[in-house]
Amino acid sequence: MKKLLKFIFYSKHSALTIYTIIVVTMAIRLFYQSGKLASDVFNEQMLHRQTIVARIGAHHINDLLEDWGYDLVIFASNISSSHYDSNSMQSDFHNLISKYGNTAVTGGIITNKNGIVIANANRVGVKDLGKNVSDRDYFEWAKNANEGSFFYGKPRISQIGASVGNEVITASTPVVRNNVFQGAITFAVDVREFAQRYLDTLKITDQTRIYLLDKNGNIVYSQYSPLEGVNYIEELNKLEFLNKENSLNKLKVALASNSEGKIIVDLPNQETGELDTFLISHSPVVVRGNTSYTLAVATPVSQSDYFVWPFYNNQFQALVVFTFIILGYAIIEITVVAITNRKSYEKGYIKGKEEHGNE
Amino acid sequence: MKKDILKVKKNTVTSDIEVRFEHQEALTVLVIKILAPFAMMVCGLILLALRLAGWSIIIGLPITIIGIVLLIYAYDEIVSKKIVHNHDDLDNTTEEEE
Repeated sequence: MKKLLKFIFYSKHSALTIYTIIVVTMAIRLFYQSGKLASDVFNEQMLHRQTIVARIGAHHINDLLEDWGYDLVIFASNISSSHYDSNSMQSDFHNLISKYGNTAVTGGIITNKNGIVIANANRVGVKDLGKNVSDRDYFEWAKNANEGSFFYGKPRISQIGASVGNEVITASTPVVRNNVFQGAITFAVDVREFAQRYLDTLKITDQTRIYLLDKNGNIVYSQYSPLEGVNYIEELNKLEFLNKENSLNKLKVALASNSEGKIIVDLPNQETGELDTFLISHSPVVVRGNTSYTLAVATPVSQSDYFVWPFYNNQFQALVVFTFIILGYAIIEITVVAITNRKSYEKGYIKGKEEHGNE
Repeated sequence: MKKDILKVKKNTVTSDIEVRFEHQEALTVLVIKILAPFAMMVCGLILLALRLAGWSIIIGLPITIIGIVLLIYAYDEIVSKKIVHNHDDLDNTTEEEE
């Protein structure tokens, strides 16, 4: 050890050795910094892509629901006409609902001015004729609404029709004839089915998760089914993990926000059971001016790292090449110094031998 | 006389074996002096490549540098013995020149 230290600090190669140590340390530091930079840039890119995807998804939901709402308005306008044959109302309504056969619209009802169901149609043929829905928020709204407007109610558990027990949002429009309220037309959209049908395609990688949450943190839709119906904030509160407070705060702020955003949080991965860092982009789902839901797109950071590995490999190769160049330089230097010393010694030896040999 | 000749022959053979053993021992030590630091350097680089949080830089960096320094040190030792301090060729060259 003493010999080694003497070699590093007190030999003719001290400068070379100290220089090699400094340069290799700087190269390794640069290797790490550039790797971190690449990782950070990719994470930012992933978040950016997720934000675009969440925004598109949220707008898509809004646009679809708007289109369906206007379908209702057109139908209401038809049946409120004085020339309309009310005997064909049931079959016409059935045809309208059938048009949504491959969508998340589960069924609909037409009520009279007292809130009694006078016609209904749904995908499973459940009959709800005669039921009283006058206490529903959509009927209360319809009684005072203008002709040609429509309303999406807050998410609720369905109590009639094909979607009984499921979380639905209802679209309603009033039927008005000669400025007199005649009744309301309403259909129900199964939220989970809607999310599954239209949001699953938003996945960027295999590990990307799509979540639809309400403002209280209840998960309406998740590809990981055990989470559905769960209040995610309360679930996280029950667990203990690193950075828990920080993660919870970020999630609460994101849920309360009425604008899109992106966050990086440490959360337990439900599938692996380990703590993972997630890149989450969120966008509010605005339906008829009400922000009812938050659409979140989440990808574990490890997936982002998957795209960074080619850069890591290149950087590592550069580090290895640089290390061998430094080593090669050191070897050349030592060899040159040794040969020079040897030649100097030879000259001196021969000269000395000649001078003393002649004596 | 015969006994003395045999003794000399035996001593010569024994000294040849000892010299060969010494050469092999020196060679083994030399190989270890070069291979061990080289292995340290390679292990250090691999640890750095793995990018394990914290451990890669804490262990990988010192091992890599120690491996490189030991390699330089080992090479300097070899070069010193073979080129700088090897005077046998010098005497032979001098005689030849004479």
